[in-house]
Amino acid sequence: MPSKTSWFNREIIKQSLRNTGWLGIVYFLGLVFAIPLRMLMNYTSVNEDYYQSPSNLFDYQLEIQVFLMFGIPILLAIFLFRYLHVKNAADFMHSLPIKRLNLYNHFVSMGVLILIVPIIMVSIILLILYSSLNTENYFTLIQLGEWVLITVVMTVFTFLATVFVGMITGISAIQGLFSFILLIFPLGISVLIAFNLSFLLHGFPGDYYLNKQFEKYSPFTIVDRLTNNTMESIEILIYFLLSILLYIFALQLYKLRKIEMVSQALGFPQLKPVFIYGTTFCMMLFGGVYFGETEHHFLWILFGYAIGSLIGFFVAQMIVEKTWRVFKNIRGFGIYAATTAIFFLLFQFDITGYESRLPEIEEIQSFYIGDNHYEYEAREDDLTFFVNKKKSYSDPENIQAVHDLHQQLISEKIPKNANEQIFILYELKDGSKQVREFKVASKQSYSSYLKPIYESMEYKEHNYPLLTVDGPDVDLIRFQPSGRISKMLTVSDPKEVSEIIEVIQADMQNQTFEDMTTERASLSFIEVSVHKKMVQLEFKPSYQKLKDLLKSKDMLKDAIVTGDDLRYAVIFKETKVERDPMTQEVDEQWVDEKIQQGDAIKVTEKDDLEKVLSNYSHGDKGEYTLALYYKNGSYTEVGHFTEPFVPEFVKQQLK
Amino acid sequence: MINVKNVSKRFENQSVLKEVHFSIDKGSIYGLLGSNGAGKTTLLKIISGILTQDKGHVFIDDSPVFEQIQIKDKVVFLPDTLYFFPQYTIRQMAEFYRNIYTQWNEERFQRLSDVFEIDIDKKIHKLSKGMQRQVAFWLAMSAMPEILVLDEPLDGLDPVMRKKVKNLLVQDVAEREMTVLISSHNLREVEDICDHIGILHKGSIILEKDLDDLKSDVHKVQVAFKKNVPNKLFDNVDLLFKEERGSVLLCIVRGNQADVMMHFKTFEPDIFDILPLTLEEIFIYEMGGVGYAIKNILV
Repeated sequence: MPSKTSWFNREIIKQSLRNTGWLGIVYFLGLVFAIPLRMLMNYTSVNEDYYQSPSNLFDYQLEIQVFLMFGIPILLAIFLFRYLHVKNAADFMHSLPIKRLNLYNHFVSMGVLILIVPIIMVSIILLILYSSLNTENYFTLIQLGEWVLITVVMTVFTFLATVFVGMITGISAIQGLFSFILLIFPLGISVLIAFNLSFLLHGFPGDYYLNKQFEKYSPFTIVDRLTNNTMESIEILIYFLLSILLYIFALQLYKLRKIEMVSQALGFPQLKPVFIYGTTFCMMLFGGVYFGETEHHFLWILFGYAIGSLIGFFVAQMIVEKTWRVFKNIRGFGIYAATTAIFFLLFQFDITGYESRLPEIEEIQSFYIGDNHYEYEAREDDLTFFVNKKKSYSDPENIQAVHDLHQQLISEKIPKNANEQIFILYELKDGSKQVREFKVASKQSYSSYLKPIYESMEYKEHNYPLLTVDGPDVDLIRFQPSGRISKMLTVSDPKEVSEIIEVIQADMQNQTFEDMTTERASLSFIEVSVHKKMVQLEFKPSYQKLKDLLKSKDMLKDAIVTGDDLRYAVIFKETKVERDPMTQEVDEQWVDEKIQQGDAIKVTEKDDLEKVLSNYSHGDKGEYTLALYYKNGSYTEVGHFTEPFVPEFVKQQLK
Repeated sequence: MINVKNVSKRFENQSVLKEVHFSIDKGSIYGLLGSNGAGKTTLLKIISGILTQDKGHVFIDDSPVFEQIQIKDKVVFLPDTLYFFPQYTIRQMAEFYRNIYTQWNEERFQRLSDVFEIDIDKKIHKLSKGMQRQVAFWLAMSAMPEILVLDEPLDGLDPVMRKKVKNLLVQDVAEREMTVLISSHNLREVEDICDHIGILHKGSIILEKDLDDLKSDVHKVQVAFKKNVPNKLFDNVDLLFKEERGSVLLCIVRGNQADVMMHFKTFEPDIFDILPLTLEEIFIYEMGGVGYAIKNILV
């Protein structure tokens, strides 16, 4: 009877259904609870407006859906392939006249079926809801199709990944744990390596990789992309192809698997060193990141490497040997430590040439320089804000300047108190990119390199989007004076608007490096609306032409805080202004004392007040601090003066 | 029928089987004896196609076993610790077997229910250990295997059931030339049904014998001489053991009975007696120096 030995065996199907069918039921009920039931609850809800309408089907109880999407397939794979991890069951199943390929296909197809059937059933329920109730507002048929596709692909992928892990290990609990680790591994190791390279390689742009490149490396990170509809079809295709690969790899492993490896943590002894040293390596990187991020000191990073790798090494040994007593195997760790030490030394001597790699000037097509990569990658299709179109600079003088700066940065060590960073991205003529990110104590110390770049037009056009706006395109300009004051100036007359835009652009073009990097408080906050989009900018104290124009039109008093808005100001020759510990307001008793002692002066003259207003910086940290007392309201603003903006009268009166 | 050729097997760093070499003819009952840890179970699992050997070959009907379903269809393996699907009744389990083994004989299954007298709709897990073993035999015999591999099969059966099972085995061997491979650590348990015996010790077969040959081959000889014992008495004799009890010389000798008698008679002993040995005695004398493990097997 050939039919009995064919690929389909009814009894195996029956047995696996008896064993794991309940998971399909749980999945079905969970999905019904998460989506159709929730939809009905929203539908019958009296105050319908109360609920914000979900953006797609994943928006219904996303947490439950994601929990099921990963939890059910992992459990399913564990239960279906449990027979590989129980000695009696393994012996029994493999004594039967069925090939492993056949067993495997039965259980895998059973698992896929148990996952797909609930999804299909729920989508049928949703279809019925769609046609019988007025639910067009809740979802579209395309969204339903997307939901089915993504859910099926992700659950099947997770299932096959867990099956694959099940073939490697001989313990079901380890299978669950390892499959979770496997799903997070590509992301985790990339993050760890990027972090550590930014410790080890001067100029390595860790954040650039961390924030942009890695977010798709783990299926767990799809969560926020599910509701935003930003999951791309290529991503789904990749998961589909990975599922096929996992299916094939798992099958090959199953064919090679020795049945006696039941209840061993690793079913293939060849994998033991891979696992042990892999864990040691990952834990070492993790230790480095932990201590590096908290302490920022090279010795602490080394300590982190040592502790992390020791823990990793022994924990991995404990898992593999299934005993606590692994401490005698220290020799392997010694070999590991020696090998890694050599690698670190090689890194220290920059054997890869990464740190010193500086593109030749002729090779550079263009470059970008900034604090970080965010602005470089800002999307042009931003709906609210007018975004800079110019992304990179190609003026030969600027290229020369950035080249010199880069050379200077390479020659320096990483400073101890690195508060700022310089991000450089080259687009080379051969089409490739070179990205560097340097931590520096202060950008001011590189002003001689930065000055020509900052003062160039192309840099200004990038950093001040208003420069690329035409006056007639502007609908409205609004000035919101800095400080606690409620007045505001709105200009909408097209002629006046054009005039103002023109002088602002002129002021911007005239700005020096010092003006651009000054800490001085801006006079007001300007919003320019251009065809429904917005450009935001600051009214800097150096915008003299703008000041003059507004003054001539008698608008300046509404656009900025003036001397008339203040009762008075007090300037102290102190680095810190005392505050009431309870209210955090300025301690008035202390102010009076200081004035009496001659360590502070009270300014009431309008001219002096305006000198204060156009020269102070926020916060109290300088040699001269100050407090501004507004006419309306009890709030007192605290600021300070920095050189060269300390007004002359202050210097004279407070020696 | 079954040919095991130089099979070796390691579990990681531990060698379990070393160059095991033997064969079993169709229709015979082969007893594999060995102490705990000798490698019996591993050997049986390799023969049943569950495990793979590292070196050597296992052939059944001139075909390898591993992953060969047409061969495995003829082989049923009964492990020492049994496995049934959780929550299955005997009927459900029988259905599974019927679906898996092409030679399943439903009529036989029904007939055997009279022998075992267990309710067919009982869940197997709720049965006692001994009853579970009976169910395993019941299912195995109904699958009509050409080769039945039994690992410590009689443990946990009461004497009555033991007798019944042995009868069933012998009956199948006689009627349809079933081949049985049975492992045990107890010689007495299997000596009444086996026709061949192999002893596995520390992973190697140290002795393999046809039991009928064995019994007729080794003799206990008692001789006494009034004068001194002739010098050449033991020349050309396969002497396994010798002991002097006063003037009587007790020795265990291997060889054809007539030849042995001829040999001793030529020295004209005053007393000469030749006696048969029990199987147990034969083993002890045969094994000589191999040591304590063998005694454990035979107890």
